[in-house]
Amino acid sequence: MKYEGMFLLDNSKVKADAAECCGVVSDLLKKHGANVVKIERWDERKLAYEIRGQKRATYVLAHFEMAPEKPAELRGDVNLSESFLRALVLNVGEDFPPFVTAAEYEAMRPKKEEEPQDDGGDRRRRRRDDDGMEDFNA
Amino acid sequence: MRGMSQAKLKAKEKKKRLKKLTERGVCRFTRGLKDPAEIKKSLQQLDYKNVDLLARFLTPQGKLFSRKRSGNSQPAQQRLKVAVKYARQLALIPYVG
Repeated sequence: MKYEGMFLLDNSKVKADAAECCGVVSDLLKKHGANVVKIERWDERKLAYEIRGQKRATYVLAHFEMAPEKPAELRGDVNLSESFLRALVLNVGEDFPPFVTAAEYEAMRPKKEEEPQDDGGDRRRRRRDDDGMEDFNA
Repeated sequence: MRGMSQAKLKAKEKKKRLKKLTERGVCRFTRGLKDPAEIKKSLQQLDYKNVDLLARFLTPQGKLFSRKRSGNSQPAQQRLKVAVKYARQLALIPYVG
């Protein structure tokens, strides 16, 4: 059956670089007899709340095929593992959904046009101790 | 129109105005779509990974808006609800705040 899995990795246990993250997840999936179709480091970001004292984590997204009784064992392994903080394994039915990374979602976001900063032109910025007598007293 | 009284003309205009207003309130995901395959494709955007889209349907406190407030159809709201709950579990959005 076809599954989509999102895995959260502990940055203190696993390095945030793509190769190592994907390697760790890939090894776990192969251990449970999964045929990995696509795997990618989805993002490294700040968490919305702390998990096991960690404020940041690496997300890895994978599309794979596996026997139907295996996801339960996979979830069990993830819960016991120190490298994994969380995992979400979803049965996607007949077809895999589009594989969209966080960077691609970021690119889809409409960009706000920067407003030109108003420096007030030649108007001199008055300081509090400026009594306008600077030139007179010099 | 010829032969139509003022009252009937007014009623016709009012009905036309109301129809325009209600069309705007129709679900943004299923608007104008009839083919089930197209509707399914449109609803695929409601994914737990698409945090920007999900955040538009949450209050400042992180709660889900009601269907009345969001204007979503029943299948769209159901997908949104599930996506938000998965995203919360994965710490992509907070439970509170």
